[in-house]
Parts: sequence; C-alpha cells; structure tokens
Amino acid sequence: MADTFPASHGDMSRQSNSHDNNRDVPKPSSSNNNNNNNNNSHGEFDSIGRHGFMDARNSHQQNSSRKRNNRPTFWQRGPIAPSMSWRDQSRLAEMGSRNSYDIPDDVHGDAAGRRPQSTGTQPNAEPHWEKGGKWRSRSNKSVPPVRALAAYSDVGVQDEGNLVTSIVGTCQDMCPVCRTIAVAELQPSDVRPQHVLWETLQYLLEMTDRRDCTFESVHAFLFDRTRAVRQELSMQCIANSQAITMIEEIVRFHIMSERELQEQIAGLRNDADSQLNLQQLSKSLLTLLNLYSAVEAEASSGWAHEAEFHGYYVLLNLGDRGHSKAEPLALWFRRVRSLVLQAPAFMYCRRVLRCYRSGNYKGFFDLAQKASYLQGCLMELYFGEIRTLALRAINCGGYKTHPFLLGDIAELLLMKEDDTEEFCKTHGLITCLDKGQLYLTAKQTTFSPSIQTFRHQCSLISRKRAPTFFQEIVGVRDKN
Amino acid sequence: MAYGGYDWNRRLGDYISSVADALNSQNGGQLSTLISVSRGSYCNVVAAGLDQNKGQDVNRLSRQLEKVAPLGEMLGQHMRCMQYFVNRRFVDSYNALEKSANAFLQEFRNWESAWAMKALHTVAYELRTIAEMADKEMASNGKIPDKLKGAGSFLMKVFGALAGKGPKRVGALYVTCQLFKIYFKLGTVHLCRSVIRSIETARVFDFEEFPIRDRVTYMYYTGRLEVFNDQFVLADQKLMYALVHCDPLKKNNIRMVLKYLIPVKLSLGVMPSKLLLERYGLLEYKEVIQALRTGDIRLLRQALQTNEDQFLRSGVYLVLEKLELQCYRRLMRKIHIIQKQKDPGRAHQVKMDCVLKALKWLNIEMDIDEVECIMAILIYRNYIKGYFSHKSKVVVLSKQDPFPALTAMT
Repeated sequence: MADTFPASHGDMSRQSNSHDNNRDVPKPSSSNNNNNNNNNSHGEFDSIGRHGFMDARNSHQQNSSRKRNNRPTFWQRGPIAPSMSWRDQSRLAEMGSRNSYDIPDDVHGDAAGRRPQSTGTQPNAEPHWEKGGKWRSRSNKSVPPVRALAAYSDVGVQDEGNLVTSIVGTCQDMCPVCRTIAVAELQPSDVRPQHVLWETLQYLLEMTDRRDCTFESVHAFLFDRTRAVRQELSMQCIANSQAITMIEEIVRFHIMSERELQEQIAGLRNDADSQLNLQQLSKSLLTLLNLYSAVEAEASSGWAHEAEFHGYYVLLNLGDRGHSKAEPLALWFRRVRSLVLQAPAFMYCRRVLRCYRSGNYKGFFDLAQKASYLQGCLMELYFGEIRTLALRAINCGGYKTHPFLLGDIAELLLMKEDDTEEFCKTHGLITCLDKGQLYLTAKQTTFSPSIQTFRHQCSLISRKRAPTFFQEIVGVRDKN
Repeated sequence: MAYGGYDWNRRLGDYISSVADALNSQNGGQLSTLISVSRGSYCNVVAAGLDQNKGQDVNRLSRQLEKVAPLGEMLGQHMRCMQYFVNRRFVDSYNALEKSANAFLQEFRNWESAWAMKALHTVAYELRTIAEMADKEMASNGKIPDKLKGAGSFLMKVFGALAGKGPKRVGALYVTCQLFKIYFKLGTVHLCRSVIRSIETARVFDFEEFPIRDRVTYMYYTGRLEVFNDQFVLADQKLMYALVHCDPLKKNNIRMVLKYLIPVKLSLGVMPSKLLLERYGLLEYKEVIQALRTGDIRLLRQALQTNEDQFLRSGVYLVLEKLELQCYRRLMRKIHIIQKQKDPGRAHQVKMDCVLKALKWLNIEMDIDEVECIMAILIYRNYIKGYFSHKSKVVVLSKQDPFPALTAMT
C-alpha cells in the first residue's frame, strides 16, 4: 500500500546512508539531535553478551551466507525490531514474539528455537524512545500476511534502497519485551516494575493514533509488546486495580484492532492473523476475569467495568461450539456474580445471546444497532453467520410468487444493496430485476453455504467509534 | 512421656500393622477404609501420632512397613497427607497425597489381580476432594488454583493403567466419573472427550459389565454434555438411562437427573406432570411448563427471570431460553384454532398483524419485521409447515399437519 508510505521516509534514507560499515559500536539510526542520552544507556550494546557479536557475524564464513539477501548490515539499517533469524522462518506460527536478533550460534535456544537475549541490566527501564523516538513503517508493497510482515521486519529492504524498516523507537533497552527469557535465567532487572509497565502501556496505546504508519504495523508492534506487558504483570503476580485497568485496555485494543485490521486490509488479511489476535484477546480476557474475582474491589458496587468485560466474553463465545476449548457458556454462567448478571451491559449481551441461539436475525441486528463500538466489533464476527441463516430462512419459507425485495433484505441485514446482491450470489442464489428493483425469489434449490468469509464493513458500527483510538481504548478515566 | 503420648504411639503402630495386614492378605476393602482421608476415621489417629513424634519417625515407620509389605513409601506420604489434612493445610495435604498416589499406582500396575481396586478408588476420590479444598485455599491466598487441574492429569494416568484388557478394567468407569466431576468443576469439559472415546469405542469395554452405580453416573454426565452441544435426542437417551437405572430410593440422585432431563424433554415437546415436579421438589419448572402449554411468551420470560439464579447455577438457563420458539409455535397454533372457529375456509392464512396484536396484548414489543423473522425461523426449523409472504405480510399454514410434532424434529 504505497500510499501509506510515511512522510518521514525521506529522512530515514538519509540517515541510513550515513551509517558507516566499519562502525564497531552500534548506534541507533534514529539519531536525532536530542537523542544523545540514548547512547549511554544502551547498556545492551555494551554488555558482555554482545561484545564483538557483530564482528563475529561479519567475519564468520557461515554467517555471511546466512545473511538474507545480503542486506545491509545491522548498522546500516539501524536498529530494527527483533527480526526472526532465518531459522525461524518456518516456525512463524509459534513465534508469538519476534525476539531474536541475529545472534551467533553459540547462544543456545530453548525448545522452540527461540534464543534468550542476554541483555544487560536495565538501570532504569524508562522508555527512552519516548524522547524523540522515530517511527518507521513498513512499505506494504508486497502484501504478505500481517504476522509474517511484522516478523520480517527487514522485508523489503532489498527494494532499491527504499527504506523499509519496522517500528521501534530508538530504545533498544525497551526490548526486554522482545526477548524470550528462559524462566531459570530470569532476573529482577529483566522485569519491569509496575509503574514502568503502566507508563509503557500508555505510550504504546497512544501509538494507535499515529498517522504516519499503517495500523497494521502498529498492531503488529503492539501485539507483542502488550503481550510482554501482560507476561511481566503475571510474572510478578501483580494483582491490583491498576493491573486490572491495564489488562482492560489491552483487551479493548485487541477487540478494536480485530475490526480495524479487517477494515483496512479487507480480503487480504490472513486468517491465521485473525486467529492469533483473537487468541490473545481471549487469553487476556480470561486473565482479566480471573483478576476480577481474585482482587477485592474498593467500591461496594464492584469493579467499574466488570460487567462490560463479562459481556465481551459472552459476545466472543456466542458460537460456543462444543469442540472448542472454551468452557461451555452454560457452565461459565454459573460463576458469574449476581452483581454482574443484573448489570445493563451484561443484560444486553445476554439478549444478544438469546437472539443468536434462537436464530432471531432481526432481533440480533436490532441489538447490533444499539451496540457500543466495541460490542459491535465483537458482534460483527458473527454477522456473516447470521446473514447466511437469514438468507436460508427466507429462501426456505418465502412464497414463491412473492419475491422478496432485495432492498428490504439489505436493510434487515445491515448491508448495502450491492453487497447483498453479491452475498446472495456467493450463496448460489439468483436475484431478478423487476421494474428497476432487485428481488430475491424464494425456494431456490441452489442454495449453498458460502465458503468465503465475507466481511462487509458496517458503517453503522464505524460511526460509533470514539474520535481517537486511544480514547476508545482508555475510555473515561477517573482522575486519580 | 505421659500415658496419652504413649497411647498415640501405640495406636499409630496398630494402624500401620493393620495396613500391613491388609496388604498381605490382599484385603482391598480394609485397605480402602484405612487409607481414606476425608471420609476416614483414622486420620486423627495418624495425625496425633505423628504430631507427637518428630518427622523422622515417619520414615522409620514406613521402613518398618517396608519389611512386611511393599507400600512403605506410599504410606509414609499418605500419613503426612493425613496429618496436614487434620491441621487444615490442604495444599500440603494434596501434595503429599499425590506422591502417595504415585507410589501406589506404580505398585498397583505390578499386581496381577484387581484386589486393590477399592483402595485405588478411594485414592481417586481423595485426590479430587482434597484438590478442591486445596484450590480454595490457594484462591484465598491470591494464587491461581491449579491443584484440581493436577488431580485431573493424574487421574488420567490412573485411567490409563486401568483401561487395558484384564480384570482391572471394571474399575475404569469409576475413575472416569471422578474425572468428569473434575472437568465439570473446572469447566474444561472438552477434556472429557478422550475418556469417553476410550470407554465407548474400545472393544475391551462392555458397558453393561461395569457396576450399575458407575453406569448411572457416567450416563448422567455424558447426558449433560449432550445438552451443552444442543443434542437433545442423545441427551434424552442418556439421561433416561440414568433415570431408569437409578436406585429409586436415592431421591436426591433422581432429582439431579430430572433437573437436566426436564428441560431436555421440554425441548422435545414432552411435558412432565405436576405430580412429578411436586414429588421431587422441582417446582421452578411449573410456570415454564404452563407458559409452554398456553403459548404465553410473557409468562415464559417472567418464569425465567424469577428463577434465573437457580437456572443459571444448574446450567439449564440457555436451554430454557430456547424454548421461546416453541412458545411462539403454541401461540400460532392457538391463533389457528381461533381462526378455524371463526372462518374455517381461510383459517390457514394468518396475518402477521394478528400475531403482532397478540404479542402486544402480552406486553411484548415487536415490530412487524421481527414477527416475520420469527415466522421465517419457525418454518425453517420445522416448527411450522407453510410459507410466508413478505409483500402481503401473511403466513400461510399448510393445510395438512401445519404443526408437526416436536418429537419429529432432531
């Protein structure tokens, strides 16, 4: 998507060319003037684990053949988000975290082939990249799936010197988030304390509104880093109201990005990416729900957003297929507190569930119109299914000589008329034109379930979004 | 030492001798009684005896046992488990129990006959019970509970040991039921699948050979699983099996089966009698049934709301919600009957407006489109035979058998 090329593109290329191949000490390429303080605190590069590693890489015979595409070295490109080494290409799916730099062979990996970074201590884990960290974005000329794209942060570098790097600020120190730490090697200095995690998260979430890079790349970046934040929260067994707020925000981010990504790269998006995002969404949601019961709320009315998120759980599991790993909703309901059961947000989601299970498509879409933005995002996951059911029912029960006006169907199912026509076509149903209007005749025997998953953008839902992503995620915050 | 102290010591010694006797004489029943923890009477003896002495005595005692019978290690851990249990340290108790069970299982695998089956069952029961208590303790200390999950994995191992050919397989169903209870408590019911597959498809198991008590429990849980998957015909079969084979004196068990069987039966169009509800104290279903009989959707919703907590706790709420479609069907039927009385020739044509009016009278807010949607779904799902016209907003019922029997549908 060349049109989303960042404005700062030009700057980048200038900078990268200025790098010197012979440089021993790495310097972040986003060398803004006000970034001098970064050089000292890049403890990583000074640390023992890194001594001479780049040299070894350059001089080692076998390594040179492992350089992918003979790309410019690390120093020329500048620090990039941890890219996967060539070894891990085949293990894309398991590599939830893009974590390894091209590190020499003598650092042992864990079972999944991931290698721990031996970063030094982080004297203070302040996000350095806040201070003028530069953004780069990726050119999406080839449109590979989001996950792989994020992982191959140096993909496209071979494009005639067009700058394509991935997102990360200058701060390599913050890349504790990028590594996989074998639990045995974990040190207190490797993990960020709560207040740092909070700052980190706020900074990350503000990135969602950046206009100089695609949402896709933002999402990929945040995907890993929010996961790391969650991991570090759980590693330290932090369970308090701030932790709850943090995870609430992360869940909202996942819900929102599911839809936003769908909107922006409709049709081109990999199903696997969607799966990954939804997987992390349900994991974070489950963690959150556990926290709600584990931690005592200060207010007697419980946690402010508890009902909202229980509602999201219901919406996420509407389908509740028996073969999935999730607990059947019937069992899950047992554990929900009465306070939550009666809350309006939760009652709304229960009504949605009722409509879904009865097949009441009209009721379902009526409720969808009343949904909040995030609820709409989740409900949209089931739109295709319900629409198919509606077509089926109409086709089955309609009167043969009284064809259904397509415009009415479109209105019913919250689609545009053209989309509805297309939708019918993919299901093997033919529409007929009569006096300038399209009709669907009933009792067609050619109905077949559609193989493609259609995601028609529903503008109704888009309209409900808050002005900025950040606002949507963070919501109304009490001043504390 | 005071006389009391000596007494505990001696009683502990007696206990160990009884265990040794049971092992040597291969008396499964006695062994089972002796190692029972939560339901047993020997805990206090053991705990008191151990409390009096230092910890190293446990090892001495178990070595003492080793000389006469092979389960010294197991007993040592088991006695610790009992001691922790009496002191209400459930997490430690569970940990010790798991070690003890491990040792026991290893020995059990070597024994040819199934004489120790009852003891193994006791161990399985204790694992589950004490794990539950341990989880509660962990949760109250702010940790994420995982002992019950561990018990589940361990019992799978036990199941594996029993699931082969030979005399031991009769005991497998009991362990299966313990596993079911664990998985239902944890909500990880998808794990039941593998066990069920082993029981139902493997040729080594002849279902009727298992003890009846286990069979009833097994059918009860598998029936409930079918309910979760909306497979009401299968659920009906299994729960009926449980009901029929259940001991008629065990009223509580019958009540539990009925609690799930009634919603299933209702979904299939079979109504229980009032007498049944009264006899087994299931009056929460009374209004639901009345609503279904009269097609009163408002009453159905009210009934669900009044007993919401109860229905949610038992997990039948979602099934009952689905009965609303049946209610609509009943309503349509009533309208049809009334129309037949007025004008038999055109009775089969029901204006959607009419349905709308009826619903309004029941204080249910709906627009004509939603009514049409409901009609479409009723036809699609075979609750009603006929068709609807979008243009004229009319439902035309089939002249023959417009309301097929509910039992005819899956």
